[in-house]
Amino acid sequence: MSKPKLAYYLAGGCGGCDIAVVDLAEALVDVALQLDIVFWAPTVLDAKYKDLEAMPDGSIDVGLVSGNVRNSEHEHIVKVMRQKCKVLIAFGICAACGGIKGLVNLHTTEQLLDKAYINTFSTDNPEKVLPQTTVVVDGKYELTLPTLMDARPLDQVVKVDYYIGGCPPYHEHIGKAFMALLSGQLPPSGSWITMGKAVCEVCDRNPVLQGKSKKFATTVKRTIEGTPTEGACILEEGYLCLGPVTQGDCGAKCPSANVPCRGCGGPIPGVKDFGLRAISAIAVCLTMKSLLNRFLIQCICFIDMHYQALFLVKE
Amino acid sequence: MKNGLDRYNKKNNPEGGKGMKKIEINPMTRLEGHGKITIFLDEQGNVENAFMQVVEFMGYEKFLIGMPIEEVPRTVTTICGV
Amino acid sequence: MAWEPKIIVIACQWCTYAGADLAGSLRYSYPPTVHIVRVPCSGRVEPEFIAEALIRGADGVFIGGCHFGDCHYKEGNYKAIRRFNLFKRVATELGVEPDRIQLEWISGSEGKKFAESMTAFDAKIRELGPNPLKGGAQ
Repeated sequence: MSKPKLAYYLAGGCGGCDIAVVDLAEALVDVALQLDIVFWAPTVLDAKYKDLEAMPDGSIDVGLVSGNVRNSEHEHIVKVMRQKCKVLIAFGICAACGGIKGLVNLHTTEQLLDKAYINTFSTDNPEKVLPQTTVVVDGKYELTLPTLMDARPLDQVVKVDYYIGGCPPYHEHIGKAFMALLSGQLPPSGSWITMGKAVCEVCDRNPVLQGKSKKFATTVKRTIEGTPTEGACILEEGYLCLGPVTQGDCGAKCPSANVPCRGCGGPIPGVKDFGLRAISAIAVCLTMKSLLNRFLIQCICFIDMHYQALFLVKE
Repeated sequence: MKNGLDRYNKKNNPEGGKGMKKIEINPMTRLEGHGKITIFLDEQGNVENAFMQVVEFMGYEKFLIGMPIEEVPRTVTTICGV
Repeated sequence: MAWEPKIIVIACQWCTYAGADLAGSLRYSYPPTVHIVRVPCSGRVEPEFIAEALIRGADGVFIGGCHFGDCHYKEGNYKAIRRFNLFKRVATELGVEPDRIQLEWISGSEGKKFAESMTAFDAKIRELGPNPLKGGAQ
């Protein structure tokens, strides 16, 4: 019996999700023996886009795409992936929701290029040269670059079968997801592959899991203004933590390291807009209306991280 | 240098892009940020010139402005996760 | 046809909705541009509801709940005001004026106040004009 085929494409992401799969380490050897990895560009294999385009449609069993769709090359290859793969998974929060790279949508392309290439004190570019989509060197060498577009999550370009959140997804969770894939035990198409528990439910610092009752935060602090008490809930101490509204497939790794959760796992099931749900959940964890004054500055940064198509929150 | 940049200006080379034979290697293996190599061949099939382009542009320089300082280290690690 | 605003009112069933009923019984009139949605408590109102209404073209969103201390579920209205205050701050990011959203406490016996609030809100929305997102967003 032939092994199921796997393809992996890194679009407008950072490659961290690719490395998270590699982080499976010894487990990856077992997984890799059961799969036929036919394409993994550009991070791991020597495959080129032409190789993917040459494969027959629907010949790849599982396709993983990480990174959001930012330029015309990503858009083209992502559509090719959809054609060639039976099941397409948006791997990592950039592909699922937009991710940190989605923050570029707060500015126009002109502003981004201007800052990067012209208006920085350490940039030496008196001719104000900017990257172009086509350029001809010496009159005969024609070079092209893809066109820059707004960053979009994968499901705004092609139909997505499953979503896996995380920045990057925790490697144990990836292992479980692969096992579920190989054994065919998957949720209905279009859903997230997740345990279904919020970060708070798996966090050691949760007072309810320790038998105590929840308290409201009486102050709001930036993370540079103190250290959370050992074993105490970070949100109760006033450091904004998105634990209540984030999927906890990571096992609450950040809170266990004294860092508030930033929501990279994606929203808990049933949430239409992550940023607004975060506002809703955290607003009720604060005692007084006046606290909302300070809260807003921090809130904006978190909502940005998991940019959702409908909402942009600016400083 | 001003003279050097004229090579890249399409307006100066109106008959540009005459369709030379070229080989494109896309994407470059194990390069995050996507690289592309374009090799131009002359009539005999020998390499006449080769170019390497970094195909992606992110824009961190702009959107980091105004971000609280304690969020910046976590954010810039997503420039490259490898 | 001249523009008529479309105002969505999310009213808590124990107080504001009862107040609206009372306004009817007492024959206090309020503009027909108002469309009332009943919820069990103002604490049920998520920022997502308000945002969804505005994106789909509502010109104004009004939330009505019980006075502090009167909430049938004890703390629902406290939660509502916290969520509402925070959401109003980010409303500009949606592209709408924050004045298009309002929260008021109207009890079941305040039929007249309900009618007056609706009339005042309708006037304010008429002054602001049509929702800038109308037909544009999504």
